[in-house]
Order: sequence, then structure tokens, then C-alpha cells
Amino acid sequence: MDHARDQSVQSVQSVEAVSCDLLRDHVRSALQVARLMLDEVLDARFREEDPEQYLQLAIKACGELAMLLRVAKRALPSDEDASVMQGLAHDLAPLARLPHLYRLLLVRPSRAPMYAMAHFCLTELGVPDERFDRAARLALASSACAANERIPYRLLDAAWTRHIALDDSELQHPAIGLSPLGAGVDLLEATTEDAYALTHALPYATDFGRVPLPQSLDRNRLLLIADALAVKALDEDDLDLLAEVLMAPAILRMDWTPTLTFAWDVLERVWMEVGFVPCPGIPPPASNETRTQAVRRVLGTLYHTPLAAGVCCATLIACHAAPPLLECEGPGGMQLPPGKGKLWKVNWEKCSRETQESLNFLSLAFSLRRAVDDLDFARIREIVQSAAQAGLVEHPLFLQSLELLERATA
Amino acid sequence: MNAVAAEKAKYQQDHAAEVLRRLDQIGAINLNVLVTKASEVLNIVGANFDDDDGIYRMCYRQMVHIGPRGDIDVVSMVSQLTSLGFEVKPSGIQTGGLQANE
Repeated sequence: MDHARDQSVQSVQSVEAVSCDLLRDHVRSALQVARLMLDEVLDARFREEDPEQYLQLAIKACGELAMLLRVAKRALPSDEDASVMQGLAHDLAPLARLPHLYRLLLVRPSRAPMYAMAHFCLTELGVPDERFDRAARLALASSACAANERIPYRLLDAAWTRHIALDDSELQHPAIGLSPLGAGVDLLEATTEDAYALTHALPYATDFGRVPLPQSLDRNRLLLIADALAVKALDEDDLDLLAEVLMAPAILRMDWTPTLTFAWDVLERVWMEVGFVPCPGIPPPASNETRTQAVRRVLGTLYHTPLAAGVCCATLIACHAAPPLLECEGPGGMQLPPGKGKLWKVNWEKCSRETQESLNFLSLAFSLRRAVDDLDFARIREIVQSAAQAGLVEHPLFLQSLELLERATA
Repeated sequence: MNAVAAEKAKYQQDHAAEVLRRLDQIGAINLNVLVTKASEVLNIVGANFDDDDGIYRMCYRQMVHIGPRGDIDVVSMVSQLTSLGFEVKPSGIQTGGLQANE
């Protein structure tokens, strides 16, 4: 067993977990945002103002809302919740089967997985449409159905939609090995897009953890990569990315690491304190903006992060992978690691000494990010050395750092 | 005619027969249906989607242009929401959260 992983597991195994009731409340909170989007942004009465922009947002958000509902159904079995979700699904249905989408199914069958995703999710939720379904299924079976050149994680995205319409065999896609699930992530200066490629590939290849990943994949390595991406998200105050990363332990069917446990604690604290999960930013207003435009800009931007967090919580519940509770009794007094961002610092200050000490990877990863920013090879060498002493040298982040030093000195 | 050519001709014949069978099936439903469908679909206007690039980005940053990234500003977000008439209640998800102002 990987030594780094071994250490991680030891420090969180015996701790009590976050309650599933609380996680369910979080999912309900995301459904509340979905309702707000439907009533205040996507309602047909707002369509006349810049119809093209309306349609683009409507189709995108509709897919995400439908995805949330499909996953939330696994996490919220009560009749009361079912009735709320059924109401949302009904109101979403006209957007999922817009005439524009129907037209595209006819003339652009290679894009059918994108255009029919919301429809298939709603059908599974008991809100069918026979005519749309016939067109969508014929498009999926068309001789041109695969004629859409896509990067590997987006092939998995299409395969995921196909599996809802067809069967689980669609998930066993050859792109898995080419995606970050097989190829890993170039972590040293990973972009947000690099990170999303992994966080999307994971739920798509497994239907949000319902189906295990192929045995040939190294789940341990993927969990450690998720650790490094969580540090990136904390460093950049990016709760949107963080919410997606936090699905990793559930989907990989592995224990929470100290870093991911801490990252969950940050997300949840902000969620509780603010009342929703804030996104990284909102676009600036245009001049002479109308109220409809302003609501579309603000709510139409902001909705995504609470939705992503809702999908995360639903996945954690469905996979029986609630995060462990973090030890927060009294400030530990350890110096703040050199991370940017401000949200995680509040949690750090509240952590016990034992918890702060267990976050050795977080501290080293923050330090490494600063050293890479400055291309300070001497500092990078020191950090890799510290990682080796802490038994973390097999972590992909430090392995890649070592390779960086080798390239630099070649 | 050699064997390969004969096989090719047979394949073409079978394929043509299959296409004709499928066309016949469509015609059997009603050719008027096709005419009506065409006019329905031609009337759908209003959005020009750019396949992969515009409409179906499943994550936040790839689809929203937020300008240069600065520090996260939760206070300004909440203030924009409340000025638009939405209510943001911190803590206690069951009683709080983001909602329309009644």
C-alpha cells in the first residue's frame, strides 16, 4: 500500500462522520436554488429580452438542473422531497425539449448526447416525452452518432448520457484510459480546466459512483491527485471546483484524506455562514442593465456553485461516504501555511493542533505552489525533501516536482 | 464477372433494397407527415448554437466570462442579490438559504 495514503487514512479513520441529515439539507438547499433559477431566470416570461442569450443559458442550466435532480433522487427518498423534485422536473421539461433541441436532434445527430441529456434524466424521473424520445434514440443510433471529435473526458460525458438511454455497458468506454483517470493530471501548474477534466471524468465514468471504476485504474493515485486539486481550489478560493473535487472519495470508494476532510469543512462552513455556496465571481453589469438582465447575470452565474455542491452532497449520501467531522476544539496555534485565498484560513485557525499537524500535505502543497510560482528550484528541492521525510514522496505532486528538478538540472 | 465483383454487386443490391425498404416504411406512415414536419422544423428560429463551444459547458468557469479573477467577494455577491430582491439567510439550511423575497 502507498505509504502516503497509509498515513492519510490513519488520521481520519476513527472520527465521527457528518450526519446524512445535514447532507440531505444541503441537497434541499441546492434544490431551492434550482427552483429560484426556474422561477426567476428561466421562466418563459423572461425569454423576450435577448432571446438568444436566454436560450443558451436555459439549455445549459436545464442540463445541470436535470443532472442534479437525477442524483438528488438517490439521496432524498422521502415522499415530500419526491414531490418537490417532481415539481421541478415538470417545470424543467419544456426547456429540456425545446423545439431548438428537437431540430438539432434531427439535423445534428452526432451531438445528440448533449442535446438529449436533460430529456433522458427527466424521463428517468418519470417525466417522459415520446416524440422527443424517439428522435433522440434514433439520433443515438445514427450512422453519424460518433462523428464528433471530442477530448477524452467529453467522450465520457457523451457515454454517460448514452448509458442513461441505453445501458451500463456504455460506461466501459475506451476513452477512460486516455482521460485523466488513466493519464493523471499535470499538477505543478494545473489549470482549472485540467482539474475539471478529472472531476468530470470521475462521475461520468462511474455514474456518480454507482458503478466502480475499472480495476486497472489506480484509485489510490487518483485520490492523491484529488488532494492536490483540493489544495489548488483552496488556494484560489474556488468553491465550484472544490465541490466537484470533494466527490472523489465517494466515487473512488476510498477513505477521506485529512486534506479533503479539511476542504469539506471549509465548503460547509462557508455554505452555512453565507446561506449559499458562493461562486468565484460575477460578471460586471452592462450599462443600462434592466432588472431581467441583472437577475440573469447575477443568479444565472451564481446558481452553478450551489448546484455543484448539491450534486456533491447527493453523491456522498448515495455512496455512503459522508465526510468525517473535523477536530476543531480550540485553536491549534500552528502558523498559517503560505496559501493564498482567504476562506480556508478561518477554518485553519479553528482547527486543533492535532488536525493542523495532520494537514502536512496541505502545508507542503501550498509551499510548493509558491515555489513553483517563483521557479525557486532550491525551495522546491527543500519541499521535496520534507515530503520524503514525511513519507509523502510517492504523492504524484512531489513525484512531478522531483521530475521538474531533474529536467531543470539535465 | 469475378467472385469479388459479384459479391460487391450483391451487396449493392441488398443495400439498395434495404434503403428502399426504409423509405417505403417512411412513406407508408404518410408523406404528408414529412411535409408538415419540415415546415414545423423550418419555423424553429431564434438560437444559433455553436455545438460544443457555447451551450453545454458543465462547469462554472468555462461558460461564464467573469473578467479578471480577483479576491472572492462574498459581501458584494450578497449585496447584489438583496438589491435584486432576493433574500439570503445565513446558517441553518432549513430556515435559511437563498430564496425569492416573499
